[in-house]
Amino acid sequence: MDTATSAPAPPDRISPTKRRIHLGRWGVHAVLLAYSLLALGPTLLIIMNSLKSRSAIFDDAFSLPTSETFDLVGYDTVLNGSSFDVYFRNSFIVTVASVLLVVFFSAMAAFALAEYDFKGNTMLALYLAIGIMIPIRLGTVSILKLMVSLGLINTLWALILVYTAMGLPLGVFLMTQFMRQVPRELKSAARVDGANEYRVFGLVLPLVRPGMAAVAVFTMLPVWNDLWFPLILAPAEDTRTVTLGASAFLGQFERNWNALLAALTLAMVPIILLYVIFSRQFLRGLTEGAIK
Amino acid sequence: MSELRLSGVSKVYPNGVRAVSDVDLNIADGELLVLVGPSGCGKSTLLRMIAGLEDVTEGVVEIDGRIVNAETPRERDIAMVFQNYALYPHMTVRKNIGYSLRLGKVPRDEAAQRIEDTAALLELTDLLDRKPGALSGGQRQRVAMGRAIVRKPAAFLMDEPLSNLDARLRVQMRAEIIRLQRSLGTTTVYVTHDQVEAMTMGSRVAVLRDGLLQQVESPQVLYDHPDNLFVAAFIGSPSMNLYQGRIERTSTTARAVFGAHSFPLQDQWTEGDGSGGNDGREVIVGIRPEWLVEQTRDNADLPSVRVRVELVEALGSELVAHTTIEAAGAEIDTPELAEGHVSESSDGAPCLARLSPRSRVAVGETIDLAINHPSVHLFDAETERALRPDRDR
Amino acid sequence: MVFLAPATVIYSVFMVYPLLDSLRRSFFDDDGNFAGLDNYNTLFGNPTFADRFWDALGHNFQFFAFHMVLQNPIGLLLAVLLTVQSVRGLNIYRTIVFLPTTLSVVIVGFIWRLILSPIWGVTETVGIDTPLLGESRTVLPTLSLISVWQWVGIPMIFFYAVLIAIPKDLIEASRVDGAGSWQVFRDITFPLILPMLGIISILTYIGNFNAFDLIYQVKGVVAGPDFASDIMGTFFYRTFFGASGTTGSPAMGATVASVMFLIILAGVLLYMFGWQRRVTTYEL
Ligand SMILES: Nc1ncnc2c1ncn2[C@@H]1O[C@H](COP(=O)(O)OP(=O)(O)O)[C@@H](O)[C@H]1O
Ligand SMILES: [Mg+2]
Repeated sequence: MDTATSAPAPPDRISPTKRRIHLGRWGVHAVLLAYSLLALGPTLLIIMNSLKSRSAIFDDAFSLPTSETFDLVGYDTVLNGSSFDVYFRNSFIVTVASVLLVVFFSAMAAFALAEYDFKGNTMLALYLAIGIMIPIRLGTVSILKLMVSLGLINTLWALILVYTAMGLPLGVFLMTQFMRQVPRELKSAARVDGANEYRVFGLVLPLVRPGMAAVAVFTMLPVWNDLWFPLILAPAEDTRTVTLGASAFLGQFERNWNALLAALTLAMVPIILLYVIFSRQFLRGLTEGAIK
Repeated sequence: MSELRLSGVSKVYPNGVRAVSDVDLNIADGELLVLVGPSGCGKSTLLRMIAGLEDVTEGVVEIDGRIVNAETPRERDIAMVFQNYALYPHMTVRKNIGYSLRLGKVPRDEAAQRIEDTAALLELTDLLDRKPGALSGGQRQRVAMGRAIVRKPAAFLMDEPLSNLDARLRVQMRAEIIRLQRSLGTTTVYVTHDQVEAMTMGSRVAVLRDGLLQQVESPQVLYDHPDNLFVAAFIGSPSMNLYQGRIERTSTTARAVFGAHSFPLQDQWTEGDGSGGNDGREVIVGIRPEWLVEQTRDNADLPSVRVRVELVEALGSELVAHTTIEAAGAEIDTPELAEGHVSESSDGAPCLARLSPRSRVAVGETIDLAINHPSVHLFDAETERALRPDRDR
Repeated sequence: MVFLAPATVIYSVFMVYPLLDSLRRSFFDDDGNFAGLDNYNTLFGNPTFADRFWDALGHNFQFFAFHMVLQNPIGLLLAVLLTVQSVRGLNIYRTIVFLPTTLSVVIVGFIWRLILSPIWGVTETVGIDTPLLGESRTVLPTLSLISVWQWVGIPMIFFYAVLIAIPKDLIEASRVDGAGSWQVFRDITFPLILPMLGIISILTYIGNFNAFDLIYQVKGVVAGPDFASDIMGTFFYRTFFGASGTTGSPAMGATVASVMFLIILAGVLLYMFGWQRRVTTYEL
């Protein structure tokens, strides 16, 4: 009992938890750091070596470029005679258009599904949701025929339409969850104030911005990175997306390592930069969408 | 059954927030101590340090003379009731209550028996096989209590356990917790931001503000003799009327002057060395709303204040008059305390009075209210500490 | 309904109709004549198709197994570590771990092709001297690992989302009840993320049986060596478009797609009735 009066704790009596906690903390850092290296390492290795001369690439892959080994010959080769700018433009158009269409159309559909109690509401919601579980690729044979008959082969429209259809099921589902969270009073208040349904929709939109962000993020990744549909629906030189373009382009340089590494670096650095800049918003969108 | 002792306990969060500063507090074996203060003042932090959920930055936490700073929650043998109950949603009530026993490797039969006993005590027997999702708020609250009780721990820590209940249920559960605590005799720290709850429950009440302990006393002493302006304003409902004022004394008399009004001070203030000490001292004058009564012929000799009635709330048992008085109100920089006052838009300072329901006061009238109390509270304007004639004369 | 029209129309025309039409085509020959189950008989009876089909299916299950055994547990582990309270700077790790997921399969495929190439010799420095992507024994596991490397961010972020939604109170209550870190995970965290485990498993299943890009990128449509890395996606593509000498057949392509549809449907039904029915999601 008389330890009770020894006011300040002797430091050695505090340390056990301290040490335990620190050990745990360091353990967490160690594992995460190790994994981060694994995640980042290959990418860094490519970027690093793209800046080196050919002999340096093979002599010592793991060293940083030095003034002697620094060499941009790969970039020279790649930038002369490639249409990466066209590919980027195509990818950009397709991705932005599909994302916008998916976000907007699914917001509209979700508004109706969440807001109105009409006959077949549940059936329609289910019908739209089936697509979440079934990959659209399985319909490729017919999609190709359909696009041929619509004369859309080798146009960006073919891709945009398919990707929009592909993104809608998940988009509608997610947006419906978000729409349901908008307080009913708010919509009632707007109606009482004389707003028509389009106005009410316009009023609700800003409130489901997190939902729209989530849908955008979920739509964006598979569209940007898809290789299948560009390969089948729009393989022409001037409608290639970055993914397909890079695939074909990289194929040409089977033996030219400088060019290969430079091309890879050029293809991924813009994405990495964009991702790093927006990673906060991007991951928040994913996180919010994931728990719906 | 245990005694808790905190010595010089402080908490600085990694982000630099100093949530608790240098708290000394002893909680006797079997005592129910209530920790009260406005939200954000560090109550939960202090409780969590006792539970072992938060590292203690400085100072020592002892349970029965054993320094527990380095112990994990499981080693401390302490039970906690959370504000949102924190019931495990995937376990039945029985499993929720029995979880700690299972972890503590209590033999199966004994555990089952203790769960039954606890459930019976809290009238939960019929609900044992339900999951928390299928319970009402009050029932969940009782399960949370049960989870604490079943362990027979060294102490209970309760963090605003009733604040999610509706008013009626809260009053009922308050009584029940007091009853349980008495019959179990388990040392308990009960946290609340509601001073009414604090006053009705605690044998002793500790008032916390910005991480600093203000005063630890029985409810009556806190009410009668607040140590400082904060405690004075925080304890009591509606809260005390406070005005900037000054002490004026002559060789024979002393009075507290505030605005157009004054209050004669007791003899003690005038006794002593006669040097005229305290004359002109800047003070804050505190008058409880319940001291004010309508002035009539019978109490015409009492000191009085003149007020303009702005709003009258008839509560049946009493009548709360929101008035303005010609004086400068004293501000206390804790927003929670400002609620319930009429805004300062009208000239003068707000003055609340709890009058008899028979009083006939009308909005817009200017009336005189007598101060039916032998003294007023005086606080040093600078330090905000209470002035006592015996000490500060 | 004006609000519903655009979504419903686009979805029906470009997704539902093609899927149904594909099913229909699997009962017709390439000239549009009704062929009954002929296509299916060819697929399962003709050794040139059947052998490839069963191989691809087997490989696809291996591919899936790798993801279930590695990708999802690693994702869970990372998510748990990322939500450890009181450790700072975790957001940076989260960003880095998710980075490969944002890269396109083409890039990922090429990165690993170069790194694993015996010509460069990077793998030799870490003691591997077989061409991992060149031998039939190692090619599928290696491709699976690359895919795991790329996609681990998805389960990570999904688990992360449920983990941060678990109230801190619950964890603390269990610690006060006497649980250590492992017990907290076993008794509280894990039961609460079980529904998400199901969702991730079915998404992995759908994704894996739909996979194509990585194999195509690294090994081409013939999924070499000697079809050792052939999975349903590449088999479908070859059947439809043909490759290296063989001519493609839309009808047979549609037939393969229909079988893939059934495989995925079986997985989805198993999930919905075998798992979802039994695992309750709790309001937190
Ligand atoms: N984990 C934390 N990190 C940083 N600051 C915190 C943390 N928890 C609480 N605080 C801060 O500490 C102060 C006290 O908080 P708390 O103990 O929860 O107050 P109370 O329970 O009295 O409302 C507040 O200012 C709060 O913002
Ligand atoms: Mg609190």
